[in-house]
Amino acid sequence: MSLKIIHELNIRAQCQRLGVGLWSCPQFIFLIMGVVVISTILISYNVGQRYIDAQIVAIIVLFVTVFLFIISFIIIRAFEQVVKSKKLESEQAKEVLKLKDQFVFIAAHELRNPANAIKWGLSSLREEHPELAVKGKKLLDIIQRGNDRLLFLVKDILEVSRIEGGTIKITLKKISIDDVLTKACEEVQQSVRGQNSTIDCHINNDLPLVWGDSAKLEEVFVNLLSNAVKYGREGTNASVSTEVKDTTVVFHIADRGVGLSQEDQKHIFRKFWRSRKVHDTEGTGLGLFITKHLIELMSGRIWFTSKLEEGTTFSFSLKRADVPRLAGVGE
Amino acid sequence: MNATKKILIVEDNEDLLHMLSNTLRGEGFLVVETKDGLQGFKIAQEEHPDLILLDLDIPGIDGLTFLKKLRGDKKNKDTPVIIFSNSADIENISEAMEQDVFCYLVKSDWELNEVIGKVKEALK
Repeated sequence: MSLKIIHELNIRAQCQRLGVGLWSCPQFIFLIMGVVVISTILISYNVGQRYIDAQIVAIIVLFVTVFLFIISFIIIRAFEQVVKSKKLESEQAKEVLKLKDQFVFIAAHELRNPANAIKWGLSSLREEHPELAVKGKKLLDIIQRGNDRLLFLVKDILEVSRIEGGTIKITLKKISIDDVLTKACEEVQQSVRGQNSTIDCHINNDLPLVWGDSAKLEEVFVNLLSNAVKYGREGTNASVSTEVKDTTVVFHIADRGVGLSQEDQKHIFRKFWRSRKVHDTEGTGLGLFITKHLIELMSGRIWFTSKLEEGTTFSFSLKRADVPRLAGVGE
Repeated sequence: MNATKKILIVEDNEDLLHMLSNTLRGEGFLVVETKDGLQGFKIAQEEHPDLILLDLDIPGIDGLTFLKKLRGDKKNKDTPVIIFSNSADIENISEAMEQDVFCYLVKSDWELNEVIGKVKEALK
């Protein structure tokens, strides 16, 4: 009980808990007011005593005291109201954010059915009406590309929504990089046939196992590799290299492309951010945002170095699975 | 000559349902359609289809519950089922695979003719 009183008297701690400055803190103001009231009482008593009849002085002091207490009470109450209303505002804002995230998730999910209908409708159209497929090839291709992009964007939006809602599921296991990287390389090489640069996916064969989620890691590689190919200059190679450190394995994906300006570097991991230097219709601006979060969910780190007109290297680390288990990693 | 195979499609999106049925009928299959899970289960009990194409996000009872009920039904214990979904949610996939399905297809990853190919495979 006495501990509680002492705790209540610790003004500084109370004010820090409310998260406001000392002069905005009700308890501190109350203390100051108390000092002001008492001093006023004493002063008015002393002054009054010299010049006025004792009884009148007592009455005056009483009125002054009551008056001051009322004022103090009003001011303290005002403070409390302000603090309460701020708290309510912040809770409401959080609730709105949560609803917005849920809405985005549901909306994106709902978009998939019609997008699939278009996809299948197009392929049925091509099959059942081949003459149309030939005469209207250009237009059909435009529709198909638009729809593919839509599906791709919806998939990314759903993933971002899951990341922000904290519902993304990562299963950490000891995985071998070779398989994951080989699959990712194949996928990227397939999809970038005919583009400017190529990938060199050769890495050491004796890499230690790392903690990670193979599906998500494949996604990370695919994203970084396709970026490297997309932004690489004509005739150049994007390359993957690895470094084995004490507790981590670091991967470097380097391109010899246009590089990133200082300004761009600040925004690169943000949602929907696209470099203005690239004119391509693909890409959602969400890839790096997703990649960064996936890596961090796997207890890794991601960073990059870049020089304008020379190229960019994205690097990320994953924890080694062959060293004594570190607290909080995997199972 | 094999007797005409009967396929039950449970899918709540009108357009996808229409395209699937049309194409399958074009291939010579007998097709029964429904948009609702409970209705689908009733049909499965009454008509013993040779194959069921099941969308997981359906009204009535959801796809996974439908599947579990189906496997509990004597006559449909072994009916081959192909699962459809909009998402590649790992949890859903593994839960579905536990119930013995022929395969799990994420709609946006498969072309219509590839789906038909899988149907024929499942019916062999």
